[in-house]
Amino acid sequence: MITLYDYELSGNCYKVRLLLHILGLSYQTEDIEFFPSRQHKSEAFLRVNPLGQLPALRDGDLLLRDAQAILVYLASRYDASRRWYPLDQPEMLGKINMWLAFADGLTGSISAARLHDLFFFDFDADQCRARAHQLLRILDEHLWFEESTGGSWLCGGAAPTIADLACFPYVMLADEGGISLIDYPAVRRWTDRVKRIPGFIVMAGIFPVAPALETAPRTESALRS
Amino acid sequence: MNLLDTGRWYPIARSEDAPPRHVCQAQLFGYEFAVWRDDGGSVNVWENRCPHRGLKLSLGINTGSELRCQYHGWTYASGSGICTHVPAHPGLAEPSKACALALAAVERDGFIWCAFDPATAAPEAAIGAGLTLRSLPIERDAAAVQAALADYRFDPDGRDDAEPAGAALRELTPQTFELAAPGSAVRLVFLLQPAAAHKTILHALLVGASADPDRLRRHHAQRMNALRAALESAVPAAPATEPSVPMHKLLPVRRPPKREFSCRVLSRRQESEGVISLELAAADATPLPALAPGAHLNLTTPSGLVRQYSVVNGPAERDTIVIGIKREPDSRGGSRSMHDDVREGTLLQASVPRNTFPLVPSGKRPILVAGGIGITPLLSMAQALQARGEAFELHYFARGEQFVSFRERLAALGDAVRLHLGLDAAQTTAALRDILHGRPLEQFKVYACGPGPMLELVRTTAAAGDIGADDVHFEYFRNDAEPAPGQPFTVRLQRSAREFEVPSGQTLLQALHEQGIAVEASCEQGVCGSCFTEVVSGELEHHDLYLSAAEKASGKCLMPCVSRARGGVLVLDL
Amino acid sequence: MRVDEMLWRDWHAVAIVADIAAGRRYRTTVLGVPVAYWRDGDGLHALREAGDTGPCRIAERYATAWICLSDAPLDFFAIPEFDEPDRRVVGAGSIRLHVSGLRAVENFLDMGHFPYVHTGYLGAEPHTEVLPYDVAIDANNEILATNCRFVQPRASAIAADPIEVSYTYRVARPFVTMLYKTCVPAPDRRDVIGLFIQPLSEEWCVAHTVLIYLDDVNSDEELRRFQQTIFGQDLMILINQVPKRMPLEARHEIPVRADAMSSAYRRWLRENRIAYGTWQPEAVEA
Repeated sequence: MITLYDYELSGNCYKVRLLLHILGLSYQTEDIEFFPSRQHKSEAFLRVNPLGQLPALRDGDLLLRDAQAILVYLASRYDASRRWYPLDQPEMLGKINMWLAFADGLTGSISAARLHDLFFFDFDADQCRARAHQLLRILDEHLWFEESTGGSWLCGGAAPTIADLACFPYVMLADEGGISLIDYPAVRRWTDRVKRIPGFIVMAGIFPVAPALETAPRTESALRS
Repeated sequence: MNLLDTGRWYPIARSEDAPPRHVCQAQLFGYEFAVWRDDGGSVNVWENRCPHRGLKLSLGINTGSELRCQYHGWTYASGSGICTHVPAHPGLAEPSKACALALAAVERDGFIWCAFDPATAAPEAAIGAGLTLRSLPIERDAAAVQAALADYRFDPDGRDDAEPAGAALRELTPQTFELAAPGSAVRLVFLLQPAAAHKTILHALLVGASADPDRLRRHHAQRMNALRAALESAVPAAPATEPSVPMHKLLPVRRPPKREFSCRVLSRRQESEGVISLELAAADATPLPALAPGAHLNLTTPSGLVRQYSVVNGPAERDTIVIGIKREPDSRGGSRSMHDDVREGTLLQASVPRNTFPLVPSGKRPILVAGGIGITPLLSMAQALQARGEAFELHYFARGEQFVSFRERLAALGDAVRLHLGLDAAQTTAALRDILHGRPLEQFKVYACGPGPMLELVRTTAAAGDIGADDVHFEYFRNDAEPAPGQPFTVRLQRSAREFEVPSGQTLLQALHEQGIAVEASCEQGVCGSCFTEVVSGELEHHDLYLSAAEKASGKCLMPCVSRARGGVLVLDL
Repeated sequence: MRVDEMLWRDWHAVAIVADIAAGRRYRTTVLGVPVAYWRDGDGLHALREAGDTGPCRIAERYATAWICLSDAPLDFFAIPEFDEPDRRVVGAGSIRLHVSGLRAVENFLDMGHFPYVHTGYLGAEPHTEVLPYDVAIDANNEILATNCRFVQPRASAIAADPIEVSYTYRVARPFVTMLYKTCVPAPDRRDVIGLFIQPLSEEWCVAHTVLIYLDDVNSDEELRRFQQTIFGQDLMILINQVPKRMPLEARHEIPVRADAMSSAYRRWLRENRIAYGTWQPEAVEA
């Protein structure tokens, strides 16, 4: 049985919950209270993850930390469609990992600003926000060009990958770090598409989107996107 | 320089920034807007603020015909911005003042333009068709961006290694500039959107270029990024400030679109046994509201009761409204009054509430099932589907030949219509099973309207036949609880020495407004306190939620939007 | 009463006592005034910062530390349930928000948003109707909304099936509100949730939440997790309300009958001359 060390309000934990739901995997949760008791720094949890960070995942004898690494593992092992992390496509794997690293940058900027504003963490919030805007500009331009050539997802394929799931949560929660998405219209449109992925679930602070407008009778191509 | 001109059109977004079922967040002069497109293609540019509790509408949901606020689910209709649904009170009318603040909006040349004053004349001459480039938000004021444009160089074929010569920047209109590539027919048009005091969105449109669009876009993205970098590094970023003047103060004073309208009966026809149809026209010059298939009207019958009637119109019929009314044997007076007291020339008050029975776009073939007078909304759906060239079936169950209404309309629908006449319960069940069973999954949608027992039959038959509950839509015809009409009473205004009557069925507030007496009002439900009025004397009937028990007992004040006097004379301190 | 006199004389929450580590100096603001507080063997201490020698008292009540910046402090409001011996008192955390504390209070008093903001937890379509309830000001100048009812799929950490939950809402002070709800294990008594808002400034606040429960099944962490999920859902809404300061006039924000409590709250603020954290359009017009 997969065990997820989880905290409801953590965007990084949410990334894993998202993929677990999308893949239809059953799992159990071990709640680690990040705030106010800082259980992630407790002795017991440091034995699970010496970095004292969430999420962590146990599957049989395997114990993993780092949301992005967990996404890679779950997709590689359990995704029958082979689209979330296509092991047979080196170019896609390269791109996906490039954007997984980018997602880490979003954590370091948006999430840090959010932790500062909401939970009084001692970060330089202005610096975090400035960095967040730099990253969001890059993300917006990238997504705009994907859209202009008919694409919908970060890595240019016909289907979303774990890169989209990794970048989504902190983008969606940016307001909580004092970062508005008003100047990133392509990013905002992409977040709508992520919300329409079958199996999508919300977390506190994220709300559903309207279903897409179906303009033609259902055909295979319409279902594919 | 950067002063808002309510009589000007400003670009607020690219057309592609408002795809279906999305809400775009945009900014002009520091004000935020929710920009969204309905499923019919019309764009809306609304103040980004729900009039209920101020939540940004850009967090809301674009359902295709309405914008739904994420806080309490209030919905606002595309076009007018009128609030069409308050989920906390499904039985009450929506507050008439609850309306999203809508700017005038048009689409042209690949951009969405808006103007604060709806009387603003049509936008200036078109730029022409072209390739829209990526728009860039720049953290500088519009004057600085404009000055920097003079140094913009580009290659008409989008080659990054070319070294193009400069060209003169020509102003087309205030904040729209054209740059011609030397020695080429290609023109680059820049549009400046003054988003805030220290932020400008730079839009661009390439006209007459024939090179590969992707290469052109990337070329200009590179150039514009460089322009932005130079502008932003020259000056430290200024902090964003909120505009000091609330947006509603900038707009010319205007009343929210009226929901109620008067209509005159043009003709009255006996459709079948017990069913008449009425053709209604607007009583004055204002155009009739647009009515989607399945929509209904609230009509105040001559007896004073308000009843709902589905509209039978086909999509091309915009000048009159046709409704069908069945004489109900156990009617409390609504349908009886419509049959007996309404004739050609009668004036009726109507309003258009939210359409609770819309055609849901889905790509699935509609099966329309009507029982008796339930034919009315389904007829409007059928005519709309026929006009769109979409396949459908209409099954009309009636007690016999003499009970079939709207024969000409049915005839015009041809083979799509099947009549099922004089069937008893068992036969109806069998007929429904024939209609609803044996259909491939996920390809059909059922719309049913008629008497309660029949709709139950439809529901159970559909469920047994594997049609999903999401694909079966019902319209129940039921009589709404009428508002407590109250007794008529006389109002005397002490300070102005005027006197007038308030009939039952009209609120004191409505009567005061009709008399031209300005009493402020907001919620019109007795909860906000805006219409608080002092009373000199009278026997009061309080229906509000604002006054304390002591205030109500004192007899010295009341809320005219919901409260009245119990007959006699009410003297107000007005 | 001078404008905001009630606020200047009132006690304002600054921390949940269990979250105050001994020997550490904490800095915060109350009504824009920078203060510091700490705990040692003698208890809680506080003073104004930056050489400001004005009054600054600190007291512990209801598992919370409160600061008053006046020499004529108001009496504390009462929560009798706190002293009941079988009660569990759990601090559910303190979260900072970029919005006027008045909006945070008003959100707490509102049921109409349950199906849309707390979907699947406190409400769900099609059960969106807010049934009529009663609002009154009592002899202590506190506002009470009684007879509030709403059908909830998951009313609390312990409720497994949908039930119609009965609520009473209470506003004791401008920034102090409590809700009393049906207690699943003991239907004749009620669970209490206290929301104590600290006004950092007119547009920033901290929400301190204290649970005074009868639950004997769930751990502190489980109770807090449910509460934090609910609050996290409200947070995104609160920080996206415009303007951040709360208007008190109905001209600008239109209520419906379901908003009877919020309407009463806005009226009560006007009548008690509270301007701090409110939106005054006339004042900023050029």
